[in-house]
Amino acid sequence: MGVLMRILGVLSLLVLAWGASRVIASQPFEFMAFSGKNPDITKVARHHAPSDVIFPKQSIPTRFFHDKHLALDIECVQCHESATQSVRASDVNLPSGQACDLCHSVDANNPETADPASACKTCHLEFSGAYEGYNPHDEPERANIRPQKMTIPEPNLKFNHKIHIDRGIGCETCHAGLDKIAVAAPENAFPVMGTCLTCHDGKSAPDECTTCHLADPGSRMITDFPQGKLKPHGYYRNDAHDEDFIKNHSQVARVDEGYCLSCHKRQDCVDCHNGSVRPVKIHPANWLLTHPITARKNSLECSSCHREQSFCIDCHRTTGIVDLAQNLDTTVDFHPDGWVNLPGQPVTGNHHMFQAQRNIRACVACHQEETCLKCHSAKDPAVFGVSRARDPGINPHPVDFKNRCGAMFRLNERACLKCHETNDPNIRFCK
Amino acid sequence: MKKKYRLSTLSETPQILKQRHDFRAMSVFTNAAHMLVYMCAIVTVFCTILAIRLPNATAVEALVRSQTIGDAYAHLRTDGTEVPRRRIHQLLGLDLFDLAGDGSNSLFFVSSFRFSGDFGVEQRDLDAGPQLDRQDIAILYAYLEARNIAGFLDISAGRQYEIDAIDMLLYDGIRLRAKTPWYFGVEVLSGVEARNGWGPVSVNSHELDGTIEQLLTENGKTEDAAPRLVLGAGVFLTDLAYTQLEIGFRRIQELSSDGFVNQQRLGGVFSQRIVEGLFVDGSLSFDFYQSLINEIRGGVRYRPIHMIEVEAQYQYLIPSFDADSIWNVFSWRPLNRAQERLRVFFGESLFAYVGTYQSFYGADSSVTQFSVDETVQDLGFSGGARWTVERGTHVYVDFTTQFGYGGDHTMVDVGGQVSFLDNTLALDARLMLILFEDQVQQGLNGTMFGAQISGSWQFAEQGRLQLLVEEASTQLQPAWVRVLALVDLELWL
Repeated sequence: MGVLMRILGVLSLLVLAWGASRVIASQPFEFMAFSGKNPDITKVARHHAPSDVIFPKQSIPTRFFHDKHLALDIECVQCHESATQSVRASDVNLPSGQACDLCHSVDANNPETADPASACKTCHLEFSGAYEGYNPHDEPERANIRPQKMTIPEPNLKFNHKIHIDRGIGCETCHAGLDKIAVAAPENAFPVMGTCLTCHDGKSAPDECTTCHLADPGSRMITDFPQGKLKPHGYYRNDAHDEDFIKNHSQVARVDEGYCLSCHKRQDCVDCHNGSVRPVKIHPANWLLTHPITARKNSLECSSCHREQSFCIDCHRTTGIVDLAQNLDTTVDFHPDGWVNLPGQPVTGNHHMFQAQRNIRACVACHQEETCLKCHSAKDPAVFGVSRARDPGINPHPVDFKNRCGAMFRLNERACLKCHETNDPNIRFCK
Repeated sequence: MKKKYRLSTLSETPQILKQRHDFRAMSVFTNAAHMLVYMCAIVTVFCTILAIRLPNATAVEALVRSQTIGDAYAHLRTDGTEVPRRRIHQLLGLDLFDLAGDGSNSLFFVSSFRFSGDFGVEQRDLDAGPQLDRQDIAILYAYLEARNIAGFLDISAGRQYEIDAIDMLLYDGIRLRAKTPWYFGVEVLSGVEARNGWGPVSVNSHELDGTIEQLLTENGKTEDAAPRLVLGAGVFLTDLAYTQLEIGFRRIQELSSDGFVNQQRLGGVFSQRIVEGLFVDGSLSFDFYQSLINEIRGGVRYRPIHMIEVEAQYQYLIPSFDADSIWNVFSWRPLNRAQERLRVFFGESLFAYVGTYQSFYGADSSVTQFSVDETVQDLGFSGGARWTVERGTHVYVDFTTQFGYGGDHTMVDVGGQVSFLDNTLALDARLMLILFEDQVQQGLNGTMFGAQISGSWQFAEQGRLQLLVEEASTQLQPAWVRVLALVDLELWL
């Protein structure tokens, strides 16, 4: 009943969490625009925006209405003509003022007379420096009355507009929703990686990370940029490098190790998994003294890094935390009363049997097989150099063991014969 | 009156360990033929791959990595004596890329070597038995890999890690991965398990759990384990951006006349994105030796909007060991664990989380005449936050409390980093407090404190120097200090 209640409790929590998230998801959501102070950068509801490590923060102090222009059926390339020939992501494919002048015959002093009505400040925010007779080329020192400059840093990405346009991929495929927004910026009009992956699937187009991402000479993605470190947020794979990832990353690595190696060196694995020094970012200063607590908890976090190839015993052996003496009498201080019931003593809840059945990994961090053989061997443990502590040996096998022992005996009988003689009637079932 | 827990002293080293020491030299000799054949095979494959892929002249990209680590502290043995540890580790890495010279990096070699010196363990300790004898020189990995041969085949040869559906394994051998046009690929691998003490440049901390360096045989004698053949095969999905699946089989078997199997497992792992931000994943491992499922894991993670993420996981585990170990018999009550976590992201720079877990071991009281709780449980809660002020500057706090099986345990972890001079200088600090109480392990009960402060200097784009000092205080060791110095160099040639 207790187990059932717990399972029901967990399921209820999940359902509640799911419901709460659906309620939140149904609310209109607008993320904060992070590209400067231009109020005309339209906020849109998107699951997430491109990383500002990929597209560093831009400053676009310009008023522009993509929606109005597109409503007039103006083609994208009419303004962004250079995009058709652009082969680098660093190309700024924005129109020059002359491109605007084709339609906007600006009369700085008499905007009302222009058709459509336009003055400098119609597009250049807070620019009011125009006056009759002013020529910016004659007075370059009057920078304060010049239009504010756009700042569009080079993206940390590879991209070739020309290839995509030549293949007939329309602008709206990547820059969707421009007909609903005014000023376009990375957060409202640039594609996220999921957009790229719709075509870059390894069949229609290459799906290597370095097709788009910058790479070092070893073909690994560069992830360290002046704007910050590029790391997965878990939008496309279950790989969010969050506070818990250090404990959960094995799941990602096991399903596709090559994916990890797109960014990480093999040495990054080895630093922890076969490291000679405790990783200080993971384990704190007092870890050397406190890790037995976590180990006793049978914490799964331990085994997410310290996997099946030995870890505990290697260090314990070197530093002497191993039951090399195999002398039962010397170990009773470490364990509580009732840990081992010597002949005539009752079994209590503290008995080591229960601990071994639940969390033998904690036992084997210190003990060797000989420790167990002293009481549990069916043959005289003297052959192992240890004295018999109980006679006859106590059977440690679970009740269903007879159903499974055949495979064990067939694949490797050596473990069986440590406790049983070859002619032991108890292993007849297994043979 | 309780007796003091006492580790063996040198004079008390059991005869059995001395036997192991004596036996070792002989056993290594008998394994020499295996090693020779094996090394020749590896070299042959190396040369074959190079012959196929290497052009006459090429501009190779080379990366040389060096990490020098020195640390000093005194480790307390449970008998109250201290083991002074004065260690220096030198790691050297040499990576050669684009050996084929076509710019695609279709052929490369990566390697890492470690040289260790432990000045704290004295020669008399080493002479006492092999258990204190560590490998001073180790090849952590060194392999040559050719990718995309004929458009579908990857081959790697040498000492390498296999991280697959089953686990992580270090072996010396060859791995082939072939992609098919039908959204799946196949993988096969073969080699020799890289074991502790096997060969002159083996690796300290690698061997299957459950046995140590030498085997204890049924006759009470010990022997060096024969080289172990690793055979593996797997099927995996490819070219599906949002679906990953791998199924793998692994068999580790002695290269001896007995041919005993040390491990035989089938494992599967998958991950699926349902919609943007919603994932399910899972894994399962079946141990043929024990004829049981030894691990199941399942999880779901959902991030409906940028701001909120919820996550739940379930895990079932029965530890299994090297088939040579008797411990497979003792460990049979599975651990079941569920854990849940909620994260809230306040913009790009601040997020907070709360989490909980429940662990329980079902115990069938019918299998024992002794009184035992039907279910033993362990519960825990955690919460924390991390705020990134700017690049290189952040603070975090984590609070965890656990109670039930394994003791009551509360932990507070606070840390942060601040950077200066365009991130070339950084200071790190970390404080940790643990309150622990356990009826079973009363020797560890008490309050424990740890502090850590570190400074690092990026003196060049390719070089970094770090100095770290740790202080800890526990009921076992009231004042414990450790100093660690680290120099990192990474040069593209």
